[in-house]
Amino acid sequence: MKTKLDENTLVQLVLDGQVDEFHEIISRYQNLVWHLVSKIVKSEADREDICQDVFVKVYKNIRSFKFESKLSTWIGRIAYTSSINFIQKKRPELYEDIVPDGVTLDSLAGKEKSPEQNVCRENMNEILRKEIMNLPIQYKTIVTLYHLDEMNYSEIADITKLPIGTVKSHLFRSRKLLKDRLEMKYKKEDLCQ
Amino acid sequence: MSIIHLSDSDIQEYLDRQSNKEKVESHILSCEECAIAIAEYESLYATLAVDEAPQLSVNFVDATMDIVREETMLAESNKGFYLYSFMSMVCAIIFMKYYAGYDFSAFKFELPTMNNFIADWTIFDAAATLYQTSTSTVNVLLFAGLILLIVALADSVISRKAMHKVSSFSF
Repeated sequence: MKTKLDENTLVQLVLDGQVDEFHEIISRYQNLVWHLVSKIVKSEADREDICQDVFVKVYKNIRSFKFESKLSTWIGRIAYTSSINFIQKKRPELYEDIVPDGVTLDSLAGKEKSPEQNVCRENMNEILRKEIMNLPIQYKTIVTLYHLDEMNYSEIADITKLPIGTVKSHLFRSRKLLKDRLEMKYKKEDLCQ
Repeated sequence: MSIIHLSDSDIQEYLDRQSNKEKVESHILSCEECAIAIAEYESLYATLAVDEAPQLSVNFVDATMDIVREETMLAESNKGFYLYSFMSMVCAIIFMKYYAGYDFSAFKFELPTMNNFIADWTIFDAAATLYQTSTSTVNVLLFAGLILLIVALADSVISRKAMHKVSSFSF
């Protein structure tokens, strides 16, 4: 049975010319990259291409990996930067989704736009998934990395290049926002029944 | 007497890191409102930890590995090209020096000044000297070498562009 190599050994093997070991790196981190890219890039047609591009960049720049941070954080940073670059270049209007300084929770809660008649048919997961997509980019990135990829504040701060305090406050705000929105939806659902 | 309820931050701190565990747990024994709020947050946390979004295609890893292998081959062929170019240059210099008898001491490169651009750029003098002193064979070889170099560089650039259709991002 093949033993699971640690990430530093895998990187070293790739650096030594064993290209096929990169297969394992893609397999391990494809979900992380997908979570980040799919939360930031709205165009479904472009997401997989961007994920591929992220791994090609990882491969081409692997010599610059210093073994000081976790490989997941380094790859996450590349995925985050690539996605932000993509929406900046392709869809400049989406970049406004990134939370500007001084935005309040109440002003974000006011962005609710879903048609009321669809609410009754949606289950909680579906509603939540849509609500996450309606969050500003930094919020949904942080929520995804924390809950889905089980990263801590420090790792998320490394990926997003935000201070740890900001990561924490964004995380708390987004969860409060999601909870409030879900409550609002369920109240509407009660009215429908 | 009014009850001071737990704030959203208190609840999230408790659920994230079990902060103020005793305080929170003793409070919710007597406060139904906060107990409900914690239960709502717990439900939210559980839902957030489940990914139901569409995933990458099944052959994503293999397709990406194909691109990575092409990258490796391209890098290897580029290495060969650079090595071949370097060796050709060395051979050409040896040939010019010992067979054609070209005097390399006349070949000086100085940055041109704005006032006297061409006159100060002694590489033109060197080229003129080379043309005058060398045999026609050397000229033909140099010309052919130059054409080959341009074709190889153009080929390298074209294949790189074709390989990266999604090259609109920078990192």
